[in-house]
Amino acid sequence: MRMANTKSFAAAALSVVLALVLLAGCGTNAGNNGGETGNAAKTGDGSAGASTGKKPVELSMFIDFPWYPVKEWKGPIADMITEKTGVKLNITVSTDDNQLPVMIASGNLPDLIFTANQVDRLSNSNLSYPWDDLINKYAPDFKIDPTRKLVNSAPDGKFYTVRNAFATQEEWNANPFALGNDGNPGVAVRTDILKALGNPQIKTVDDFVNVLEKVKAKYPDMVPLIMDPNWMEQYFKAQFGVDVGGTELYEGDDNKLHMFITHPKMLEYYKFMNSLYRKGLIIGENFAFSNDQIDDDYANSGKAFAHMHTVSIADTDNLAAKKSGKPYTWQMLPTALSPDAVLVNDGIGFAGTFITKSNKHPEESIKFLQYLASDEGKKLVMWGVEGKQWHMDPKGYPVFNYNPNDGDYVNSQGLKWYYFYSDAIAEGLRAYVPGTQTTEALLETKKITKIRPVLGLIHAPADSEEQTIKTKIDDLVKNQRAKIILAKTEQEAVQAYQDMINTAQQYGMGKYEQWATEQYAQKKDLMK
Amino acid sequence: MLSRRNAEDWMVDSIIHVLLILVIITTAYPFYYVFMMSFNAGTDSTIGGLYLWPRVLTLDNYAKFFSDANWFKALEVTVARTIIGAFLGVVFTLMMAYGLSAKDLVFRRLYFTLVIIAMYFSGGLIPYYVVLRSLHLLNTFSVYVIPTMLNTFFLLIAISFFRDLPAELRESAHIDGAGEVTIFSRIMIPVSKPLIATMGLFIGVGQWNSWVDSAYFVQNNDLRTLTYRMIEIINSSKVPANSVAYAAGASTVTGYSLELTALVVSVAPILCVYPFLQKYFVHGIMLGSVKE
Repeated sequence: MRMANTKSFAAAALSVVLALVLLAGCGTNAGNNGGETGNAAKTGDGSAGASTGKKPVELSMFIDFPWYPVKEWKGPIADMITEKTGVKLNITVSTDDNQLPVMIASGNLPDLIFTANQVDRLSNSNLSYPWDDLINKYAPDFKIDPTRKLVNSAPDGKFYTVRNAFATQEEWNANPFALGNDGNPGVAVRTDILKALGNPQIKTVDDFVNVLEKVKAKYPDMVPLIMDPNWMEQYFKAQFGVDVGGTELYEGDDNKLHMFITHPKMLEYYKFMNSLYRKGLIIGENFAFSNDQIDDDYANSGKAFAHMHTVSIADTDNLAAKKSGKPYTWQMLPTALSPDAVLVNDGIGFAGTFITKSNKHPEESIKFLQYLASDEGKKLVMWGVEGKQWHMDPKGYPVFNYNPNDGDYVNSQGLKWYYFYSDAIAEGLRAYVPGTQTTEALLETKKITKIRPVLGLIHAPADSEEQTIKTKIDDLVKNQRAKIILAKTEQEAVQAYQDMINTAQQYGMGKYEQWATEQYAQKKDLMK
Repeated sequence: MLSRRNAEDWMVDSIIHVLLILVIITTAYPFYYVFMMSFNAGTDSTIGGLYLWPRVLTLDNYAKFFSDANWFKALEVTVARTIIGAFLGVVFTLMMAYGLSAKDLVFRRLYFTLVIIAMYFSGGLIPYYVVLRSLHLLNTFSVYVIPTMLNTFFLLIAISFFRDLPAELRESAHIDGAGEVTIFSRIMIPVSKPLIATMGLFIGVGQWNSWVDSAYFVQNNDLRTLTYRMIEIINSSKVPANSVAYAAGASTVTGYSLELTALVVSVAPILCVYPFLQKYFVHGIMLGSVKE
C-alpha cells in the first residue's frame, strides 16, 4: 500500500516535470521577431532595390558596441534609407563584449553585424559571406578601391567587410576640407585665468609649463592640468616627436619596426611627464580615474585650468560652461608646440559590417551597403538631408544648419551613427565647421599628420604567440606608466622606465618586433 | 528578584552596544551614501567632500534615468518575471523537495545524483545558450522563469526541512485518507511558511536583479528588463574617446551619478518588500501541529 502510493507519487512527480519541460518549449513568441533570434522577421517578398512601394525587408543588425548611442532604426535618416533601399533594420546593441563571441560560438547569428573587435573572427567564409562574391553576383557596379580591399582582406584573400572611417592618402590630399576625426589629441585652457596671469604666450612646451606653474602658485586649490584617462599621453608624445600611431609601432633608423616604448624620444617624454607630477601640475588621482567622465567634471565644475582630451575639447567644454552659466570660456592650445611635433595616422578604419551566413537576404544586404557607400548615401548618413540640414559651400565643404557636435540632435535625427559603410572623407568634411576651435585644431592636426596605413595592417592574429606578447606588453605599459610618471625623483622614473623595457624584453618584445618587421615588408610589397 | 547591575554588566553591555552601533553604521551608511549621492548633481559630486547631505539638491539624475521611454515596459516585464518566477521557483522546488524527501521513493539516489551533478557542474554560457535555443526559449518571456524554476540550493534546504518534520504528520494524514497531493498542499505548504518566505525572497531578488538573461537570450525590445535598461544607460554614458565629440548636455548628470541612481532604483523595491516578509522569518511555526 505504502509502496504503491510512493510509486504513484514518483510517477506523478515525474510526469509533472516532463510536462513542464515540454511546456517550456512552447513559450509564446512575443514581439515582432520570430522565435529564433537573429532571423529577421519574414517578409513575404524579398526583392529589395529602390523603393517600389513594396514592404521593406527587415534585417536584424547586431551592433557590437555597448556604448552605441543609437539603439533603434528610426528618425528621418533611417526612413529615407529604407525608402531608397527597401531595407529596414532591427537593431540590437550589445550589452558587453562577450555577447557577440557567445553568438558566434553557438552559431546563432543575426543577418548583419557591425563590429570592430570581432573582425578577424567574422572574416571567415563559414560565418559570413565574402563581399567579393556578393558583389560579383548581385552588385557588379559596386566599386571598391584596391587600397580598401587590401586593408580589409582576410587571410583567404577575400574581404568580408570594409571598415568605415578610413581614407587613403590620395583621398585626404584631394579633399583639403576633410579633416581627421575627433580621435586626435588637444588641450584647452581657461581664458579668464590666462587673462588674470597677463595673457602669457603659449608657443612652446616650456611656455605651457611656465603657465601651469603660475596657475599652481596663484590658485593653489586648482588642478593645473587635468587629463582624460584615454588621452593622457598622445598630446605631449606628439610634441616630443614620438611618431607612433595606434599600432604602437615605428620604423627605426635600422629600417626595422619597434615598439613605441623603445622610441628614442620616449624617455625624454616620460621624464617630462614625471617633472609635471613632481611640480604638482598634474595629480596622481588622474591615473586612477575609473571612467572618462571624471576629468570632464573637474573641468566643468571649475576645478581645473587646462583640460587635456581631444581636438574638440574647447568647444565641448565651452558648451558645457555656457549651459551651466559659467562666466568663463575655454580656448585650444596650438596642436604643435614644437617643431618636432608629429602625429601618425596608421588606422585602417574603425568598424565594419558583416553579412552573416544566417542572412536570408544577401542580395538586399549588399545593395543596402552599396547605397550607404554611394556618394548620396554617405552624405545622407553623415550630414543629413541636402537643402534641409546642409548645403554645399561653393568652396567645397558642407555648411550645416545644426551643430554636428550636438549629440542630442545628432542621435535624435539618426545622423552619423548609421555609418555601416562610410569613409573618413564624408566624416571628415562633417568636422569642417569654419570658425570653431575644433576645426582650427583639426587643420593644424592635418598639417603634422603622417598617413601610414601599411602599419595598420600589422596586427597579430587572434590567439597567436605574437598577440600574447603584445597583450602582455600593453598591460605592462599600462601599469608601469603610472609608476614612471608618479616617481618621486627623476632617477626613480628613469629606473622604472628601464625596468619596463627589461620586462618587455623578457616578455618577448624582440620576437614581436621581428615578426612585425617581416609582416611590414610583405604588406609594403602588396601596396606597390 | 530585583536585578542589580554591577559594573561588569555595564561594561559588557556598553561594549555590545558600541559594537552593534558600529555594525549598523558600517552596513547602513553605504546605502545612505548612495541614496544621498543620487540626489546630488553629478557634476558637483565629483568635487568630493560629500558625506551627509546633498550639496546641490537635484532630481536630474532621476529625470534622466526615467527619460527612457522603454522604461515602464521594462518595469512591467521585471515585475512580472519577479512574481511569476518567484512563484514558479518556490512551488516547483518545494514539490520536488517533497518528493525527494520521502525515504521510500524509487530511484531516489539517481534523482539526487542528478541534482548534485547539476549543482556543481555547469556547461558554461555557450552550451546553455545552445540548450535554450533548441528548447525555443530564446527571445521569449519563458526564458526568464523556466530555467530558474529549480533552485538546487533551496532544493537541498527544503528536503532537509521536510525530513525534519515529524513523520507522524504525513502518516496521520495518510490514515485519514489523504493522497500525496493533498498532504503536500494542505499540510506541508502551511507548515513551511518560513521556508517559503525565505525562498520567495531570495528567488525574487535574484529575478529582480538578473540582467544576463535579458542581455544574452532576448532581442525583442519589449521583453527587456529593468536591470538591462540600467546597464544600457550606464553603458551609453561611456562613449569612448575616439568617437564623436559629445556636447555635454545642459545636464549635471554624470555616468557615476547615473550608476548610483540605478542602484537606488534597483534596491528600493526589494527594501520595501522585505519588512512584509520579515514576520515569516520566525520559529515556532510547528508548535501545536502535532500532539505527541
